[in-house]
Amino acid sequence: MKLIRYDYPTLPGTRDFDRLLNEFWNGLPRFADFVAAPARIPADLYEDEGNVYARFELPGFKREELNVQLENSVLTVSVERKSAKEGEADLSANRSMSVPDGLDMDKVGAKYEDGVLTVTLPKKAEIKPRAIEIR
Amino acid sequence: MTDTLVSNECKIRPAYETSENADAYEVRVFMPGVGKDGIGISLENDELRVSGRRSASIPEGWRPLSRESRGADYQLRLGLNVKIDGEKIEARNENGVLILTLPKAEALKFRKIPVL
Repeated sequence: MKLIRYDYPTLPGTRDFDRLLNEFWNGLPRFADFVAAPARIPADLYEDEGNVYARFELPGFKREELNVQLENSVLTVSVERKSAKEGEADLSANRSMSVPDGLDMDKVGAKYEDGVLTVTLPKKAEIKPRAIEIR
Repeated sequence: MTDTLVSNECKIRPAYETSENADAYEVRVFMPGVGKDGIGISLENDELRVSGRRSASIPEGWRPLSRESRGADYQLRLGLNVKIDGEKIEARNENGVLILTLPKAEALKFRKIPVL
């Protein structure tokens, strides 16, 4: 059996109303936007045929301040920065997320660009979808 | 299927910090995902506007498993209640943080007055 995401049907006339409503809510400043240092590092998880991708929003760090660890299908990103200014507290934060099973842990790669850290986790060959030849 | 979060016209108001030294104010705007080419800055009637367009949207073929970040672009409007030298604004982008240096207008600068 295959699970397929169910898309709720929308009446043609209600689409504009939905859009208006969404614009209204998205236009309001969110509480989180007022907080300069977010308590939680936003993380996204994606996949395609060959890889699973984890993306973390971490603006303003240097590569050497970022640390990525993988243990028992839990991916942890931690940041640490010694304060440059006298009297200012050192900064450290971390974020963990579980990643799916069946990944090739030895071939994990990470890239940091424009304040977004992308960790690429290749799937093991045996779980990649493959076409089966009919003879 | 298009990603509704990305296609939405609405903008995120980015987090920012301000600081001041003897010659200038510094504004640091946090816009992860925005490269150098995606930044727009304008100053009009004491209102500083910063916009940031995300450089890398999600590559073709990536299916989201879970999402927390909002894929929208950024927009920040700051009303300035201090006089600055608009001609000499400097901006640089460091790993998703836009650092703006707004030099103080000459009239505001600290001046040492010699006693004759």
